[in-house]
Amino acid sequence: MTESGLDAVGSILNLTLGLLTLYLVRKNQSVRWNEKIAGLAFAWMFIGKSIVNMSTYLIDSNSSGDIDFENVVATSTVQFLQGMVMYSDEIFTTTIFILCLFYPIPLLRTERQIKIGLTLVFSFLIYRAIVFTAFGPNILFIPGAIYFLPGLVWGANYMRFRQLEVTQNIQDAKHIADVSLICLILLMGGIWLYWPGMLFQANYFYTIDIWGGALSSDIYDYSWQAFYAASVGLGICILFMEIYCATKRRSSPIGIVFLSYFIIGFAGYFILSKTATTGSSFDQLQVTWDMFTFSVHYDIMRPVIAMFILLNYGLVKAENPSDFRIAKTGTIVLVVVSTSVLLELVQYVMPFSEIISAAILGIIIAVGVGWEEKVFNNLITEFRPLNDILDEVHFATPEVQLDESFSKKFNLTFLTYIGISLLLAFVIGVTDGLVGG
Amino acid sequence: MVWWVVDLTEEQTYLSFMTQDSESKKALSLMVSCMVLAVMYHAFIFWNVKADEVMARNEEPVWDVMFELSNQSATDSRLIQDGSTEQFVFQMDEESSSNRMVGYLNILLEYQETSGNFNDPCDVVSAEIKHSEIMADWNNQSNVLSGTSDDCSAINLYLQIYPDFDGATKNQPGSTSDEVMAKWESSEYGIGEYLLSVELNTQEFASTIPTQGDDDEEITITWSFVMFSPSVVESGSS
Repeated sequence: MTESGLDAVGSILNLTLGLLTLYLVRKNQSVRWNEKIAGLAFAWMFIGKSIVNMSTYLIDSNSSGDIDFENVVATSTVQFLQGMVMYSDEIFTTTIFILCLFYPIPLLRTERQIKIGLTLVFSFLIYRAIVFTAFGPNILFIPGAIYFLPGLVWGANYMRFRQLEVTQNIQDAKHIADVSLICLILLMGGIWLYWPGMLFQANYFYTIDIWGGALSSDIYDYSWQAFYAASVGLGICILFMEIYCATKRRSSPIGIVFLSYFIIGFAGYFILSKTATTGSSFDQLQVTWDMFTFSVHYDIMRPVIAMFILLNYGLVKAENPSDFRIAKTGTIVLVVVSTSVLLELVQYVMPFSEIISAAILGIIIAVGVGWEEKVFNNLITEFRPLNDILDEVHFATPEVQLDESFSKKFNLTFLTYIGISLLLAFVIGVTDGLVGG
Repeated sequence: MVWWVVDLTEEQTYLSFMTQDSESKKALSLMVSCMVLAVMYHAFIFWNVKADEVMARNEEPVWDVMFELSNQSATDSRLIQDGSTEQFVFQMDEESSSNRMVGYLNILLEYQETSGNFNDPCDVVSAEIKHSEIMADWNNQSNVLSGTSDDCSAINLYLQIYPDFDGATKNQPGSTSDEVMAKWESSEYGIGEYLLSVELNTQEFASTIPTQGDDDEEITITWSFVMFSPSVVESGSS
């Protein structure tokens, strides 16, 4: 399976999870208001990523070789799809902003703050769409901004609650730190795989070029990388904190997941740093490594992490047997699809017969039947409400009565945005908006 | 005081909770310092230390594609009757190409006048490479797919199989070595059954003296394939 195949699978998976999450969040009456907003944000994150993945897959299918926007090789269809990638990726940016403002700790704590906050976030979404349509990849787009606010908020949450756990011996404070850290892994895990590249001045980090050509200016690429660098800085700070906590015998499973990203990143340095001197070109081994780490994070780990947060921390609660079955089906689909994609990737490196890979998948599923139910039951029921922990540290989530039509308005905003995206991408396609800068 | 500040001061704010005591302030300061230091370090490296390489990131590397050449030949001789056409066949399969690419094909057709009669003229031989399903550059202008000889001189035929291949080192741009190599690693070219059609028409010496004319001739065909294995090295940037 190539990266393009991974995109197609990722698209179907994300769409399924997005729709399931929307359904479960809508039916869920017992979660707190901020958790409801977070649940909706996760659902739209899945749907937005589904459109991105499908557009990327179609770009690969509609083009032979590299796409060259500068030299007018990109067809109108490819430009339309590239526009959709860009606009839909903004759904991810927006949902990440919303998540960090409401989950696990609500920064916005009154109805008025929520209204103003959401208006600003959606205005930023519209602003970036307009800038992209008018100027293409331009510094006014504030590239990489997605990492700044969430990095600060979740980073601060993590540091504060880890500190509360260690210095004031509040055991459960680590759960808030864990949720914040896992949200950071979801957002920045891919960047943390590149951390040694930044520190040791490797080309594979410093020549990162989101647009893969001269279409974006130096300052645009710099802006992206600067926010990546801030994320690496945050990662190093968390690394210190995790090591400190480990010395106090307070390591956490999420901390170990975080450390594994850093260790994989370190190993990757020795493979990826052998880059050609003139650019960020990768050889076959490097491409394979990047596919198994970077792409796997974005296409497989992100939905897995998001689903873990949704189920483990009770953002979606299966309140009756039929909802329980739906939630369980979603999880099983996620696990089976992710496993089969990983098997396909292994097959890409070590070609073996498809019959063998199907047999391995069959064995995994057969062995997993029953086991997966136990894990799922633990996942969906055994958690302590985060608000109880916030209450314990005297920072309880305030009572806010969300408008009854809040979910409808929220969903409608994103649906409208997708409609506008299609229109804007069509304009880009017919006007050759991405060609020649 | 503006209204949103009023809102935030109604109860404990996020910021006040995050900076409640000196320990939490230290933790936050450490985090912000790490982020700021990383951004400053990156800016220094990006704009100073690696400025040249960073500015050259959009330049596409240029690669020298070199070819290790080898030959694969086969000879076939047949006696062809006057006025008849014979098909010479050569089968090239992936095993016989031994993972090398097939570059081009030269066919050498040789014959002599063997009647032994004094002044007997050479026979007329025509040869043609039959267009087949084989993947090759059939429309290449350098191709010589047919030829005729009536003076016992050899006929040389040529078929370009792998497009653009001439054995000389190529200078090609490409973002990766794999991308450049991909153009030269298609093992599908040249695989299949080659057909060479050869027609013989004998000629006799125009004489009033009765002579013994010949009615056949031995034709020798040499199939000569030039095979190659490509390799690339980066030679600069465009």
